[in-house]
Amino acid sequence: MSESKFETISSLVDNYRATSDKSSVDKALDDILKDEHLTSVWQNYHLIGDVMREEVADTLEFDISQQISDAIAQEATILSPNNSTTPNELITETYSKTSDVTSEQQALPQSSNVISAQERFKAKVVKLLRPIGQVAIAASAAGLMIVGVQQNSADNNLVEPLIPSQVVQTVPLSGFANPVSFNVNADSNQQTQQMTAKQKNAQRIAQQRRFQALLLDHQQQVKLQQAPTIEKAK
Amino acid sequence: MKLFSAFVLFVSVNFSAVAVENDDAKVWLERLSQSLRQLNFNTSFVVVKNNQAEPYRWVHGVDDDNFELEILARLNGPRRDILRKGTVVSYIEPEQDVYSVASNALNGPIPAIFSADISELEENYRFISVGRSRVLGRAAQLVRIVAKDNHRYGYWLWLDQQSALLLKMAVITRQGQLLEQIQFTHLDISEKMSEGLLQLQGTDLPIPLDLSHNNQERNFLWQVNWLPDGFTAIKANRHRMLSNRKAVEFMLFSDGLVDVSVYVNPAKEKLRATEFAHDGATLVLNQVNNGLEVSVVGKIPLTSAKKIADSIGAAPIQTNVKQ
Repeated sequence: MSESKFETISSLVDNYRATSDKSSVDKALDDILKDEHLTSVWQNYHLIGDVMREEVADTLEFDISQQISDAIAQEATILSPNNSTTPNELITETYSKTSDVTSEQQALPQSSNVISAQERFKAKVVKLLRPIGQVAIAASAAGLMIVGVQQNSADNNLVEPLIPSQVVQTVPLSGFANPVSFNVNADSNQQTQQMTAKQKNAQRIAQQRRFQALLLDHQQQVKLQQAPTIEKAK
Repeated sequence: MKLFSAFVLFVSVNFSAVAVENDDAKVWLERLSQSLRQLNFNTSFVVVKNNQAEPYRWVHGVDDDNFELEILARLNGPRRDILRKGTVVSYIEPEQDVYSVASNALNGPIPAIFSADISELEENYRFISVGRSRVLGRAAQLVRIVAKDNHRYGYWLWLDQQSALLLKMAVITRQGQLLEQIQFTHLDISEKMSEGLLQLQGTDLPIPLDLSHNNQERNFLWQVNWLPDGFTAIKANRHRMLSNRKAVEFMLFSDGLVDVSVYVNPAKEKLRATEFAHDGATLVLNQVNNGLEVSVVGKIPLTSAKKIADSIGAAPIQTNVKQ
């Protein structure tokens, strides 16, 4: 505990650096922080300074830091925030949703009525698997609805292409970034101009969902048709 | 119209040595239909749309009893397989459990009519044999299926000179703009059925759904007053939409080649301007008028879809009384 250290503390308290060498000052500060005695010296020097300048409060609280750290230690530990809906609820919701779909289409006539132990086990497995499936659907649906702008070459090609190979030239097989854009046509411009960007965005998402739902349902309904020849045969 | 086809003919005379009569084109399409039903083939193709490529594998075979077996599998993303044994078609999709439909064609990216009676299309389309080119390393014959009116798109088919199987297909607007194409990447024609089909032969597919009662709803308070010539109602029903569970009244129309869906349901808003988006050649159009939401989906031009949507009006009075 050399005299020079006290000197350094003193000069630091007065906001004055004894040496211009930065590293040595840093080292001195480190020493002060590590040494309990030196930190109390630091504290005392400040108190002395305050008293001399008549800046002392009416009641002297010598060590607030200790109180604060005690208070923190007593706080309850929160590891993660609570979800408003538990994962289980979510899963069952999606599960019931999908089973609705099938029952409506008579794909699963009886299986949902009979719940044997085995069924329950199966249901559990399904519950486990379902969310993954849902993510996959979302991804695939998103993939489906990557909608390209179709206006690009209309003007250049007003005349029927002369040779068939032009078709190949217009759009190469691959090697493009996917344009995620809608060529949306909104007539009511005055209305849209008044909207905030946030509203517009929400509207756009709602619109995308609508298109996506329609496209998926169209594809589904096309599949759910009996061949005319078979219908005739009935 | 005549001018147009004369022009096309003129162009083909000029640019390819082989410009042939429409009869020849029909013969090609009949050969295609026959090959699709009778050959054992194992093939892969990519559907190119929106600057995106979706790969598929397609296997078809006929067993000794002339019984058709077919598998169409999408190779990227979640599994979407379609299996067919004769007149039972099963769809394996991530959205729902496996289900079967009684049908003699699977419903994939390639129109089912190509393996059926192609002459059904003659009323609304013209078949034009254009010329030869080279596709998939083979000599190919280009046949165009051109719409007689301007309410639908044209289909260009490149057929293998030897087997008449499809090598490439493009959906093209009247202005000659390419919307969507299917490029085959591999084609194997064999004497015997492939291994996968033999496995399918031993598998039992789910019993087909009975769709007859589900498809003949007659009591709608609305009707579609305009459709391009040749479109007929395939089915009509009330259902909930697959993804958002919204209740809709639905009609499906077809001209043999193209399917068009019409959805009608009450909306929260009173009025919403017409919105539309393209997915390849498929157009999705949506508008709200007087609190009634009308949507049209199908591979038709925007003008046709808009005209269909605008033509929806109240059904005749006797239907109203019934309700």
